[in-house]
Amino acid sequence: MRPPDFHLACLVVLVVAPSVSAANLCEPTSEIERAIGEVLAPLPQDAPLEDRLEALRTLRTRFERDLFVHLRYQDEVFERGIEGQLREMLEEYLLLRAGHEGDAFYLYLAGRAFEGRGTKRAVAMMEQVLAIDPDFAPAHRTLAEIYGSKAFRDPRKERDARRKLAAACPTSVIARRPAPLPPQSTFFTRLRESRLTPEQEAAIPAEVQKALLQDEWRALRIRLFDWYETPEQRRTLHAMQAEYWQAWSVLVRHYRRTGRQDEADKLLAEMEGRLLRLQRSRRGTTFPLAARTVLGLYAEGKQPENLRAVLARLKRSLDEHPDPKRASELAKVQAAFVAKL
Amino acid sequence: MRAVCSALFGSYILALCMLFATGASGFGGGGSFNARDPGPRGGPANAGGPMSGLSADEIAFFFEAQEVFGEVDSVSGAVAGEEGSGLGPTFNANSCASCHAQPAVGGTSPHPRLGQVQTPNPQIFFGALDRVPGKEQPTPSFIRADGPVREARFIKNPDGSFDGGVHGLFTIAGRVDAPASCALAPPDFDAQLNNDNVIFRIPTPTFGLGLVENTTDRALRNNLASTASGRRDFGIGGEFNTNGNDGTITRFGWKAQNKSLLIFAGEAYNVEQGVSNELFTQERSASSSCRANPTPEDHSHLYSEAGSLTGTVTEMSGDAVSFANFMRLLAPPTPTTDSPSELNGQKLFTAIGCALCHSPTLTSSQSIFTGQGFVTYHPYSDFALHHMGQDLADFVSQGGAGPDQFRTAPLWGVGQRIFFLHDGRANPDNGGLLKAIYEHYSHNSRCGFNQDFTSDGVACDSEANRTIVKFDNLSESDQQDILNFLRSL
Repeated sequence: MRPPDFHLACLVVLVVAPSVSAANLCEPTSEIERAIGEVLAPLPQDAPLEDRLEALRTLRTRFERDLFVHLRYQDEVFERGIEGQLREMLEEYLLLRAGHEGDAFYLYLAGRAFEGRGTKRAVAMMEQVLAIDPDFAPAHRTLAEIYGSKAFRDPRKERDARRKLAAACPTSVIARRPAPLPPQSTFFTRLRESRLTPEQEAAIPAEVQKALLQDEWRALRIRLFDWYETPEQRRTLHAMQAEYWQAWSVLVRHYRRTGRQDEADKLLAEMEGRLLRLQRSRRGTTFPLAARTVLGLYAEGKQPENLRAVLARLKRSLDEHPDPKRASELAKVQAAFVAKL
Repeated sequence: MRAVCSALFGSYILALCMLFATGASGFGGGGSFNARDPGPRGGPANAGGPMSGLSADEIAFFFEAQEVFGEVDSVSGAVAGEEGSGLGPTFNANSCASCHAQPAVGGTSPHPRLGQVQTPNPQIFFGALDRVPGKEQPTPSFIRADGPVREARFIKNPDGSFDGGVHGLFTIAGRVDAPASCALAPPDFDAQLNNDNVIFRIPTPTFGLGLVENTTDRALRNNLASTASGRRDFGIGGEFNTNGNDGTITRFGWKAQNKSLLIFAGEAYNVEQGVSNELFTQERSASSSCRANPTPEDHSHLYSEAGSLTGTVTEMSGDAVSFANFMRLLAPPTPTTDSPSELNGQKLFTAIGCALCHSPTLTSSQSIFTGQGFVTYHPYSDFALHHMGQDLADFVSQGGAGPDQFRTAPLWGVGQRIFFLHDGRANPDNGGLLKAIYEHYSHNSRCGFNQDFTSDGVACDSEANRTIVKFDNLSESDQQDILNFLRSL
């Protein structure tokens, strides 16, 4: 049995605890929008995410209980971050929640942080928030976003959440989430190798590098709603591996056109090494493409002896480590080059 | 040098001091010695295959695991030809097989001109491999094309406390597949070298380790006990490193710090390649902006590559399990001891006390694998720790192994090795095996009379001293026979 003043003290704490008005949960105030703009404006568009997060952390300290400052911080990670930053953000919000036991505001933010990895947990925490405060509008918005997503689609639950959000925040809109990925590089689709100006030709190595960096970054980014559990991740990796073979063949041709046969041969030798490794790897899904690329480049370069040597190496490796699947893939690729042998 | 030696140690050691005084120029270069390391044995590797006697299914299992051992890792697995994922944030290599290479996959450091696998130290390439032009990383000065593969450990932290951990030679920052936000730079190794704060370790060969793993503690203890009186006569101690939880003998790694092949594999995967796994679950770098993958990066698979809920052990297990299975079924090296010189060397090896620690024979226990139970094998190690004194001490403590204690390095396969001792200091340019033998000798002249250990726990004298003196007193012909014998292993 606790003494009577304990209850009184609790009551006092509840009364003085900072509260968030319902209106502040629907839309960001103009002051907040301005403040966010001001901290991010000095940073260049391509500033490292860590710099942007640091700026928003400062703002978060200033507006400790403003929902939209926190949301912007979380969205920066969701939209530009990688796994490590997602995890760090999640840990931050779990810690905040632990320091504010029973506070729907921090419970909500911690739950939302789970959207990247652990969406089911996010849903469960939204339900806990609504058990504390059934009118907590952001939780309805988050549930509507989750149930509207491709991975967790549930039209009935989405409608229900939208209706409740509309009741609490009539003018509030639900963003389309996840935000679209940054664009894939169009360099390889735009490239017309037979119609290059000297300037374009000279820029090829840098452009290839830029395209690979852009698409690697795109592939590394986290995506909301547990994307990693889907076969999409595997497709992304496959597409990236295929892009490397394309990128290297563009470079080999570039070196040949610009009279740098040594560099072309050096790169081809490295590609050959990777091809041999791929042949022995069960995980490698691009073996046929890789074989076509390497053999094709030797054929294009009128190097039949190299073409024959690669084939011999591949066959020798298959003899040493028999693999019926790879043998059949190799036979098909070889058939396309019979005339060039 | 001679005067100092004489004053310090008296006449008994004088001969040895003279030898060291002149030896620096003699090792490998003619000088006052005629005995010389014949160099790595040529001919076929006769290593790298599965244990003999395995069933067809077990052999297939071995080759599947071998394939994983040879897989090359990139950051996310997107780089073509580098389909493994999880590399970094810090790393020393991108594949087990790149460093465990000579004389076959599973072995140790290769050399560009010697041995069965003539290729440069792969670490000279990692600063430039897959890097964005202009973002290459420097290769540390202690990594050379014809030098051993090395990991670097710092002895102390900047605040003076003990470190002992591995510091990756490279980071993924600047790789084409690294997160753009990753700016983690490798440590300033030159500054650490200038402060004498770096020690090195080289890869240990993994041939035959399944037999070692499958040897009971009792067999190891009995073996050690069987040499007790001989060791006493030679001033040799010996104790096992043990696991803090169950008290059983740990036996893998330079200081016998790892209990099992699985732990050994998991630790190396995380430390050398930066791949977090089910045994070492956290990434080693604290930089969130460099952590691109969910952890652990290597893990068991619910689905096979083909999307099925079932598959082979290798398909469904994490890579670390496959590494351990590969090592577990990897056959021991095949010795070629045959010539009169080698056979005489074998006898002398025992006579002068080498075999007191480098135990020739052990027997494994029962095995789940066909034909692998109760196998008599010849590791030339007692798998115990011995104090090697000041000169070999690396001042790193691991488990029960103190700053100068090392597990007796197994000598099987030594005939095909290029680099010797924990840090690879003995190499073809400085006498190789002969240098390695003499490096076993150590006396700390700052120790007082009857002082056994310095204040930092390093023995004043190496346990091997008397044996090395005996070796030194052999005729050149006998010394050569021992070297020839070792090169036949």
